[in-house]
Amino acid sequence: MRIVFFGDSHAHALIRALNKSGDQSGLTAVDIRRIEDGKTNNKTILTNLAQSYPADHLFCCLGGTEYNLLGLIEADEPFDFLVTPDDTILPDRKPVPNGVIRSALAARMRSALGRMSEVRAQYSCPFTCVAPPPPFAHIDDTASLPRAFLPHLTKGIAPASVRRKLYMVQIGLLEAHCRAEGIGFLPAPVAVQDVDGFLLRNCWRNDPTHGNARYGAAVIGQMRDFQLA
Amino acid sequence: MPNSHPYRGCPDYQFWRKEPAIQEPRAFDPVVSPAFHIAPDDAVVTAGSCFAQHVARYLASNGFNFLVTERLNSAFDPKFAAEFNYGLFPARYGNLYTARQLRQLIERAYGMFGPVCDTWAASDGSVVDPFRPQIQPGGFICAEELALDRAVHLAAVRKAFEKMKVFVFTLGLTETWMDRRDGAVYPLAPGVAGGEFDPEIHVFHNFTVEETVADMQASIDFIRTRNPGVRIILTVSPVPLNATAVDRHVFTSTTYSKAVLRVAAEEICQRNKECDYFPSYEIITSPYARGQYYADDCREVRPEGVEHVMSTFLRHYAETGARTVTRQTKSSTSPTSTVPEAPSVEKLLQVLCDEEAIDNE
Repeated sequence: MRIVFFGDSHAHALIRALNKSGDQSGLTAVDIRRIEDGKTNNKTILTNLAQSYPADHLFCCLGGTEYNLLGLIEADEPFDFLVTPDDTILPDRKPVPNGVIRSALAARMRSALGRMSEVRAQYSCPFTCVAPPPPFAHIDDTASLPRAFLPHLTKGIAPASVRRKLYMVQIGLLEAHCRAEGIGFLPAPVAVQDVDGFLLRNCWRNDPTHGNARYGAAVIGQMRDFQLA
Repeated sequence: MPNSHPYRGCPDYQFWRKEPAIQEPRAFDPVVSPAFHIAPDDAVVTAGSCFAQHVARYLASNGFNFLVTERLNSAFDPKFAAEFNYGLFPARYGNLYTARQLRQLIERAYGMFGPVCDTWAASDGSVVDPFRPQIQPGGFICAEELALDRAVHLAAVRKAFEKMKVFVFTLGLTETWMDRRDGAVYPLAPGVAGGEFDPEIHVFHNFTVEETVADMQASIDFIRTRNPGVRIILTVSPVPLNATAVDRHVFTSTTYSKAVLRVAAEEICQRNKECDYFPSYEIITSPYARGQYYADDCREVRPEGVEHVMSTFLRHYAETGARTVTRQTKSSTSPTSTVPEAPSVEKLLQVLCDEEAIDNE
């Protein structure tokens, strides 16, 4: 059984896990941006994937950090929103309609979903979309933020509850897309999340937008269970 | 020596056959003596029927201080502002077709009126604001979210009415649907864009001149208790009714409605100081225009008509004496806008017209 995982940056958690475990069971994780030379990012989907990476089951996680792009760094006008009627708006934050959040995230996700469709079109095997890692709860001294955010760091990090809501909206949009396209969907493993749905501290290292090898291993285990089921 | 009579010596504009627009339709200018002018830094607030959206756009892109008090959070790309109707009007109240709607908006904003029914369920499970049913595409996710948004919205309404120097209100309709329990009026009949029509609760009402005058006067009186210096311009929308709930031809209902609104506007302007009637209705509908300002559906106003209206408005009301209007195009910007608060209203090309949702199918 040949299982292939295509991802952008999130592929590296799985690549690291596979390297660490020496897994030889036919699972391949690929950073789809760097197929050509292994180091240059190219968002154009190559047209010979099925020949280069034949698969009996394909898993895919393209994009994935859109919710962080929208809300990791504190906004000039700090905002909050509802995902369920029981949610609350944090004090001193301005409510934004959920529909605005959905539209903004959907627009950001459009490119990744389009690329995912291009990948899918090249295969006839089962295809499953894998959720990106959930947000971290708290930043600490060992964490470093992506360079794109550095100029804005003075504004601080948005509250965990807001980031978690953004993640939930993104996952909701992803699930809806998968349902509409007839694609399987794999949420983030429960084992990597705390009771509030945040990524466990030992599942990310110093980069709060990506999981580490432990996270990758959990996703691989989940993929195998899913594939067997 | 000619005989003396009351018309002798009157200005040409009082005589039909001396109207230059008989020869040149674009020359038609029925404005005679504005009671005031609008300075570039005077905060202008607009409200009313869908024609008022044209007024808002033109003011924003022609150097007026078009006040917007309810904006999309700056964390989001401005392109979403248009999608969610931010900047269409100073606050997200959508179209206010009747004077009663304006009055009740003010009463709700200042806690003087709490409608019995303040949420409508949509067919997709979302929740709709009965008083602005098309303001939030896709609806609100729950009543709690609507309540949060409404609090923000009504605060923005208060701010707009208290900060404005000039209020431009376009009277659009006399027909409305009302909740008979408390008199709350809706811009759309229940069931059209949310809610469910219940003949036990919802009743049709066609406002009279007296009612329209009373509602408009009450609105002006309250606004002036909060904002004594505000100057007011009333207009009547030249857009005919899309549908009538009265069992007669829609055009007959249109003439009734426009006649009521025109008379009410006249009476209000005579009663109140610094309150002008601006004849946008006349510019579009007069025989001088030869019907050319209406689009192929005989209802929508062509851009040329809007431009005629607004260039006339600018000529007479802009303190700087603007003589030309920046034509609204998809790519147009607001080069003459000097106001930091002016929204990208010129991008809001899609006119929200709640009325369009009404059909008999």
